[in-house]
Amino acid sequence: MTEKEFKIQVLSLSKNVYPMARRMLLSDDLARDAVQQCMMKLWENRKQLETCTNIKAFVFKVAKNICLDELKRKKPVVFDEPSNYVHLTPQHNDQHEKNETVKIIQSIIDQLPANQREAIQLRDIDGLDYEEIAEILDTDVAYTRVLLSRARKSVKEKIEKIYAYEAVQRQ
Amino acid sequence: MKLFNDNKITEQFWNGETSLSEEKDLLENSDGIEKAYNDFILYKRKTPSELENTIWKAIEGKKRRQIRIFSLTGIAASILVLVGVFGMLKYQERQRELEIQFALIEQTLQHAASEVAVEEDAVETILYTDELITIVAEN
Repeated sequence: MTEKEFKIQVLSLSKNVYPMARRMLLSDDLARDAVQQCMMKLWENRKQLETCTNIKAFVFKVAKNICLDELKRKKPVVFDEPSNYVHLTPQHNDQHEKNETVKIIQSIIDQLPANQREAIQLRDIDGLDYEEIAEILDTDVAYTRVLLSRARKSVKEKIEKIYAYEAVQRQ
Repeated sequence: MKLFNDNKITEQFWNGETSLSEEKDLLENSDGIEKAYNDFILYKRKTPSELENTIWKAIEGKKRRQIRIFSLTGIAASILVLVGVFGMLKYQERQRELEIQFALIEQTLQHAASEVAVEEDAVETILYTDELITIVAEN
């Protein structure tokens, strides 16, 4: 694999892998380091990538293993909130609302069973297809569909309940 | 922004029956719960700017360091080979000098031996003999 091919096929996935690393490590710095470590490892073993059938799933798997190693090595740190969501002022009502929405949906997803949570995050945040998710979760496509379906239905029900409750509160 | 009004697709989305492109289209053009969910997704997808460039610079830095290490190792190996060859040549030169010195001494000793050669007509008288030694007197 040439430098150009690596940049197009692998390095470009950094932005896709980063959210997963951040979810696992709960820190921007650790996530950046993990993605960097992942890409360095893949660059060093780029010859093996030529025989890989699903590069995207493979890259996610490598990144996930690096994050798991990091979690074993260190205790989790406090979640870093991006600065634009931390310092809210009355002028930022829309932003504040979005921030609240994010927190609510995150807490709903956090309550899901682990495999459903991972499936919905890999699909909706990381944008992976069913085959890629199945490979990362070491399962089959049919079961991945089931997991995603259950997770989304559960998320929808809970969001609806919260929205309905808020609507009643406003009246 | 056009709002997404296809309830069937929306239902399929929450049932996990839509394709990635359908989901993208749906979430970007919806209101209500789907919009809230899209806001969540966009927030979670945020990545640091210049992430790829930063990583590539780190990879290049490591490449350069490896090249430097290989170069230094190569130079060190070359120096070792040169020192080895030089040492071997020195050793061979020293051996040759010793051989010449030995040959000279051998020649000198042979010359001295020939000078003090035993006279052919000398009479030998055995003074003492046993199992170990024999003492001979020459006249």
